Amino acid sequence: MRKIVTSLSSAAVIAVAISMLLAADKSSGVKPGDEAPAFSLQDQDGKTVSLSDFKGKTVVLEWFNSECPYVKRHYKAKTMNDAADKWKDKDVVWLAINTTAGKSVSDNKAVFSDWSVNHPILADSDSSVAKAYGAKTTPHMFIIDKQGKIAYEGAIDNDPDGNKGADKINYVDKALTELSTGSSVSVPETRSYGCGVHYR
Amino acid sequence: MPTRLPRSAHFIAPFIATVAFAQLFAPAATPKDLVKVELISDVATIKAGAPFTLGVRLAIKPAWHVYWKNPGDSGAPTRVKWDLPDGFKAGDLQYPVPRRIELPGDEVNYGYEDEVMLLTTITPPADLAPGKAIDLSADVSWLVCEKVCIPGKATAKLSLPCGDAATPANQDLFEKWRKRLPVPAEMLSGVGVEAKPLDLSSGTGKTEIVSTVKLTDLAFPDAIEGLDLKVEPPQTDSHHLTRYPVEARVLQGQQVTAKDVEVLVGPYRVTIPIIGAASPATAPAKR
Repeated sequence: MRKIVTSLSSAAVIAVAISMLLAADKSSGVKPGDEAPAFSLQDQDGKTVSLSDFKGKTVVLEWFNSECPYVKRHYKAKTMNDAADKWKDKDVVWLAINTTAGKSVSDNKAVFSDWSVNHPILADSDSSVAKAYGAKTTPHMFIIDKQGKIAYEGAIDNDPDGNKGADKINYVDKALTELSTGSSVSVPETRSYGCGVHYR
Repeated sequence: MPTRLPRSAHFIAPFIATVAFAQLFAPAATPKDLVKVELISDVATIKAGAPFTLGVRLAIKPAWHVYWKNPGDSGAPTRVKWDLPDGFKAGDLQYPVPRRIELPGDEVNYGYEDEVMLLTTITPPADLAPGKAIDLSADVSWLVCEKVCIPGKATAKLSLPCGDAATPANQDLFEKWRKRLPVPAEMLSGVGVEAKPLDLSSGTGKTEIVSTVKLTDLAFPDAIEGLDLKVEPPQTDSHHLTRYPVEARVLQGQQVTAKDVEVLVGPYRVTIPIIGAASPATAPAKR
């Protein structure tokens, strides 16, 4: 378990390379209606990805940790990949963010390939973006609307145990559907479930 | 012409893919010694119609923890599903007072380290033939976390004979865990604890739990669907009254249907009535 320590030094280098623009007084996180805090992070290939790259688009943020059983379950069920794929041609950008301490760009590259992830995994190695958004769990989902405001914050669905079957509601898909038809999001805030973001 | 796979390869390829995929998502290691589960009874023989207590004991590897019914900022509750013979009734699962487990990034979990026993009152039917063996079974599920989390489940079984009397058993163990169950605050003698109703008609609400003695710094609120609730650290005023401020907010677009919310002030259970619920804090975000 301590092998992670070896990758800490590289994570520190990346953390220095990250330019972070923190919205003032947002240390406790964001709520629907708030301005989405800006960020610039490296994706799994080391390419810098900034929220400002996607002005005028809807952006989905998915807090990610490849070692969390909830994240594993959703990737096994293709929850994230299927949704990212469904919305990719509709002006929706889907970004995974890995805040997990000790995880670096190269770890994200490995899991991106091993799990056939179809959207970027960004390295938030110094936890600053997780703090700005108030990300608590993996997964924890945020939708940023075309005006750059938080339109949804919370769980991916109403099914923490993965056993709801037909009663499952995918809150993110529901909110994206509402946004795409010009309506307001009917459930903009839920309690997210999963592993703690800062584990490891 | 493309190379053709032998027919057997067509047949077997999906299986290889499935196996590879399953291994990919299988936990790296699921040590058997992380959590050990046992089903324990406070009687050695069951008497017809006489309620007894079953304990689900989880022995947890040092430094790891499992969760209370409200796991806090992350995690998942430890749950028990009973499989009992016809006519047997199980009461609510009783959780001992949890510990506050602080994680980096201001995250708080409520759970148990080392050992916990969850208790349930079982009421047998009035017509049981003495001598008959009764098979009791509990499907237990949990999430156990240290730096990583690993979900687990186990079925714990116990077989007990019926007798003319309910013979006590495992008394020390049950005594130890009964002492750790929350005590209703109104049962405290010489101490006044009062919770004013929480009015959520504006979507947010503030109230306080007032106690004539400072019970503890730690409060554990239960999780209520659609409600974000915090209990702030207590303040003691010049009249020696200790006040625990409670702040709550209905999540946007959600409705609170609960009539009250339970808060553990240390080991004491306080029930805060909820009034004027079912109204979102603010209008849903407009595009």
